[in-house]
Amino acid sequence: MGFASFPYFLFPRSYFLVMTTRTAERRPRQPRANPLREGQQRQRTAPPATMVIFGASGDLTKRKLVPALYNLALEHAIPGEFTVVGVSRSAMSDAQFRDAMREGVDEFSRTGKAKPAVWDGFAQGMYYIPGNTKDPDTFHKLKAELDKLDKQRGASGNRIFYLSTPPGIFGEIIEGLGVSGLNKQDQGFSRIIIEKPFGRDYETARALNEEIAGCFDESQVYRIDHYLGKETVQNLMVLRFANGIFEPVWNRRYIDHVQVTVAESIGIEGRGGYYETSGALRDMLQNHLMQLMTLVAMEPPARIDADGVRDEKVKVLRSIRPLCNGGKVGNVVRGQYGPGWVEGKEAEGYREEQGVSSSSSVETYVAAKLSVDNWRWADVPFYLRTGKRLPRRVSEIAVQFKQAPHLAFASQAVTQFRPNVLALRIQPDEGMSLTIGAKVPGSQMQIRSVNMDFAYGASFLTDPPEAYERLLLDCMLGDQTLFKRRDEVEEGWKMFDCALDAWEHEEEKPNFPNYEAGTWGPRDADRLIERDGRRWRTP
Amino acid sequence: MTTSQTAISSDGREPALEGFWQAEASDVPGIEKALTTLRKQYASPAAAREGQAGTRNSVANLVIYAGSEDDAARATAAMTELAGRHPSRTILLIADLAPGSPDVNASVSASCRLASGRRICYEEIRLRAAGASGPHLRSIVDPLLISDLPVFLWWTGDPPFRHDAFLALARLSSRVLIDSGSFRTPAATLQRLGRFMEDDAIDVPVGDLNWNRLAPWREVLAQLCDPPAVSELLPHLRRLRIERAVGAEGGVAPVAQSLLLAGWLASRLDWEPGRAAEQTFSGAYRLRLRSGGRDLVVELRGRLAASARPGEVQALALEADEDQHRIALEMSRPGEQEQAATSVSIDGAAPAERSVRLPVLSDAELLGDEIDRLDADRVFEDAAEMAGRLAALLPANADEGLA
Repeated sequence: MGFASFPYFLFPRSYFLVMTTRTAERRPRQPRANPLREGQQRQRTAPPATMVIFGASGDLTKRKLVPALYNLALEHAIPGEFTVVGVSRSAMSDAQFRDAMREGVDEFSRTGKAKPAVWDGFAQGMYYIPGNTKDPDTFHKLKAELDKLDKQRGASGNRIFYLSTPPGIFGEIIEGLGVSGLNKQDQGFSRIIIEKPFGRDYETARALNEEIAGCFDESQVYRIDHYLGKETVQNLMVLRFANGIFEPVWNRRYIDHVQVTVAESIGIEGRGGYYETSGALRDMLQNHLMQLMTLVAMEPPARIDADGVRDEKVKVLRSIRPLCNGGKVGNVVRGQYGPGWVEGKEAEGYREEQGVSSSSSVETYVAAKLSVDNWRWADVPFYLRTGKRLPRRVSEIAVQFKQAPHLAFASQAVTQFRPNVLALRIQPDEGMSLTIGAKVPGSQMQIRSVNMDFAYGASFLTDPPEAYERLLLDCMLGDQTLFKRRDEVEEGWKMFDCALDAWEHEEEKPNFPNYEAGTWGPRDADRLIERDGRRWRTP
Repeated sequence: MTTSQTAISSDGREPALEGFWQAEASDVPGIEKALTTLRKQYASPAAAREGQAGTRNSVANLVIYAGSEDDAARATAAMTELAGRHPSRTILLIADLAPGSPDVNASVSASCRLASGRRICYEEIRLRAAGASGPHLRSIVDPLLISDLPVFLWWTGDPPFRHDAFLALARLSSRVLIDSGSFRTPAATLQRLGRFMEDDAIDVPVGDLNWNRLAPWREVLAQLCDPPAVSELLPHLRRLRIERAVGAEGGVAPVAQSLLLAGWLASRLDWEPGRAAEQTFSGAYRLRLRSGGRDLVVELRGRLAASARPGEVQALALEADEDQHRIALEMSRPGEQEQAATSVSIDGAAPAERSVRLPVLSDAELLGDEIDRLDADRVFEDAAEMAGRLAALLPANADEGLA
């Protein structure tokens, strides 16, 4: 019996998962598990599988997906039988596909240029099928090819379909997979990974989800938001739920408000065509910022697992007070950049960018004040803002605590003192800092704020993996915790639907541009927070 | 007290040195005072203007024992590399354990480095001691530890497991680190290590840098054994061959790493050590073990690899058979290349061959891995105890000829 002909399909999926300690803890050790796996540093090794990438000639495949898979291979996290099949319309041979992907690895992999021998071994398992996804025949061809590869390479019938295509053709791919029976899990698992955007409003998101549900069970669906794969984002859960000192003060009694900032210094980088149909709310606020916000606001889950975490996140989304009152949009402001200077370079305005209408009213900045109507967060506003062409690239969550109830010190002692802030930096310089009041040395009593810093880079030796590496491995192992569930996506759209609708149908177009490139957004955003007696931080 | 400011270029691994400060002291209060003074000096110019002391970054206390200047130099080099990303309070103890009149003096230094644009400062306390007893050493080291942080004792060279200096320092520690790759008498010391870990008198987890050097081997081997066709035959192994690097034809090389690897397989797969090993004409050791009621031959031999560190595992081969099934599995690394060729053949079919990355880890990386964990590594302990039992089967001259 050879490697390739071994009947892997006789073994249920769970058989392969026992090899990871995580799973082993939950069930008794099975007698046939590999005894050499015990105590290994890397406890998460994927079972053999084939990943089919639709949109294989696209940028994401070359920049992120294949470098992530290659790094997983380099770290021995995926087995030698792992197979990649690229599908897209361009005509290309296997060899050309491999060459193009190697260029991508050489240029974009966090571990530098591909190591020749390792790459050769990995690339042997890469294939390419040209095909139009509108043509049902493409999927039959694909199925035949996958069956052949299963035998040839011992990939055991496990399949992952990665939709890295424009969202417009998600539907036909899902349908094609269904019609050809590739959605079935009779030989091994069949999973589908979908890249955002998951729709462009509540209705389209629901329609897409319906389409997916027609062919795949929710347990097979992995909606990827790479933000969730970032170490600091995951560390938010560790910070809150592993440290006993934060959770007791994580509520309205001690927290004054929360600010979430995702600032970009870049513009739209030539993606005018896309951005004109999207805007900051759809592109950033509705997904990335809301992810961060829900992680801050959610209740402690009973278990950190797929449904434990996602149930709590959905509960937060459902507790957010609607942004529209009687059809009028409130608590959301938007902006669009005009020309200016960013990071020492002159930048053109949004309307001057390529592919953008000269009278565009698409927002490149959006800020919102959200209220979470539950016991924990009543009267604690969450201020969220994101924009392009802001002074610098920074993402952070700042939890501002309430002022001490009574400051017994003389008033001149506290002029330089601000309430405590716990700032969680996502990028750059991942880490956190807590500002605390300290006495300035000397004979006078003077208090000033100092930072107590924790930087990831300074405390841990290993480089964190790229978000895609983590997420792809999670999908191979069947862990959906860091992927979005159907109801999470739909609830996420529902709350912004009225704003999107109102903006699309308003008669009087906004007075854009309303902020200069290289500044912290429009004046309206300042008013949004200042009317509550608070100010935006300068992160 | 001397102060100097040096700038060296970064070689990519070692963060650029931004400044170095040093002071001498003769007792514990003196050391603490010197540390405070240094901390004011290395405060960054901007912070200094605002009256703030420099930030001290520490994730652990690291107490290093060095029996010689050579060991001390090696430890310092590793710490320098480690400090940029895993800064620790370092107490380097250069001590002669021979009895005599006690004499201890200390120097304290601080250096600040720029690592990925971030300024990181760390402090090293260097103690030179002669004739000091265990309690004496403990009384100096204990007050210098940063409270609330774990304490790692790295004992370079062969640890004297019964010596009161070793025991006193081990009792202060959360974890004891050794490097069986630099044991002067590996076969003998491994046997003592095995007994030390079985001993209930002191219950401190032990970590071995040499075990971490094997980590890539263990990981790849485990992965090769993942397919059920292979893992099912693991209880039926008949032969294991491990080859270690020797510097010259017919030369000798420490056998510790080979024993650990064999000990790991033996402990995971429930092998029983058998009778004393034979030495073949070519100098290889042949051990007979029992596995599942059948004999199993383990052969440890040398392989010429001038560029590799003597004693590093270079290749391994496994063979198993049961009923109609058999597997043959091989891994080999030519010299110091960061790669290995693997080959798996099932039931006589053409072997499936692959090339995998097999990194050669520096002392700092090995230490960093050890500092990441605090709990006992049961798999290592089982492997080391078994390695000690296998070492007892080797001929008495097994450690002869090693430097």
